[in-house]
Amino acid sequence: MSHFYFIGQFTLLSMFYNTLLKKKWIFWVLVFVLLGLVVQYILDPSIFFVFNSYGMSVTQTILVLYAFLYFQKSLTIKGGFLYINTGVLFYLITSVLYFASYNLFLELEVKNKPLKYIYWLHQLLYFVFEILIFVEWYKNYRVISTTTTKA
Amino acid sequence: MQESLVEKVQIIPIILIGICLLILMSVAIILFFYLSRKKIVETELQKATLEIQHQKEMLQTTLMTQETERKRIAQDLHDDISSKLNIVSLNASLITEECVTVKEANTLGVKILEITNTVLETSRRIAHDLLPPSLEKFGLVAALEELCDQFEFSKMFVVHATFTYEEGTLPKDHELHLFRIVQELINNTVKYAAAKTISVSLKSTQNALHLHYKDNGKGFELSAGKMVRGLGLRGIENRAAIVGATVTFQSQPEEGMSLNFVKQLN
Repeated sequence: MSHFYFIGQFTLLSMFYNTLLKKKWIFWVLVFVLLGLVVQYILDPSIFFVFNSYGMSVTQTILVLYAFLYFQKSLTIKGGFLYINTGVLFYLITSVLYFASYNLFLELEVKNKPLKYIYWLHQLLYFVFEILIFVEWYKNYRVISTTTTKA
Repeated sequence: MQESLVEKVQIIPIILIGICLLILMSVAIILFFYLSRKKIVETELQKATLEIQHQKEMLQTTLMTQETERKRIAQDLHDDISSKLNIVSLNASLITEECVTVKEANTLGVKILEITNTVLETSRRIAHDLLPPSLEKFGLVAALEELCDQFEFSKMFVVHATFTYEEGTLPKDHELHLFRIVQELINNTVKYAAAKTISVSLKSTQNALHLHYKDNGKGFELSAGKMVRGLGLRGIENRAAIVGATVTFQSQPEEGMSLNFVKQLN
């Protein structure tokens, strides 16, 4: 399931930032990364049965970069979607390490305390992310079509 | 196997710390963004306020110039025309009196004629000062040439004028502004500078229009000059702003003054 989650997340957010940043290369990066992922799955089908840390990290890093670029753009040009952008930047940066070491967590399956903290922390961060999305949706609920792509 | 598991468990606190650091980092980035945005918005607001203030000042100067001009016209009318017309009416009433001899009536008539002529001349001059007819009829270059000739005629100084201006480069109202700028500059030179030579050049190329003015008079401290209202440098700047040109003054005490006026043409 996680495969569809992160690929979907990457595709939708890439399209979102493509409309915000209005840069053609975002589309090409999307195509390139998706092709790369296809190649990865073909070369090593066993990845499909575990958690794909590499794919997750790469796509998240690229999205963080987009979020950062959008922040930079909104410094001078007035634009909406700042809450969502804040959420994306915040959640994706903080969860990169979590997902990168997710395979390790699965392998350990130990009920040790630090691991529990990490789970909680991640859930808290995800909650913050969702709150920010909600705030964004609440502030301009008339554009439901654009905001729902994010949820 | 057990050992490697223990090793891996030891990594977990490190990962936890790493995540905390990442949280700090992202918070820092986001804070940085919001703070700099606030600052930028503030600077922009300040800029807008300054602009409004500048416009207000411009409006004030325009109104003030208008008032001075009205005053001047009123004074001209009062001093030159009304007083002379008074004499005319006085003389005319004398003629109508019965005891006046034919000879006296003739002298009075000649006097009236004389005064009427000067009044006519004065009214023509006032109208001419307000709006030179040559600008309307023959264009900017003719008007500027006439202006320079007038001053050169007074023998106070030598005017070097070169005009290569293609009529119609600027709209009519802008041409009037340009004319007024030159008029103001020459007036300043006459009033304050005690210059010996003045050079005026107007050159229109394909991309830009250049007006250069220079005198070798007393000159002035630029910062002080701008404060003096009589000099009308503000007025010149305002006119240049309306035309959409950039204007730069250069002046030093005892070294004359020069002005460069550049209007980019598209």
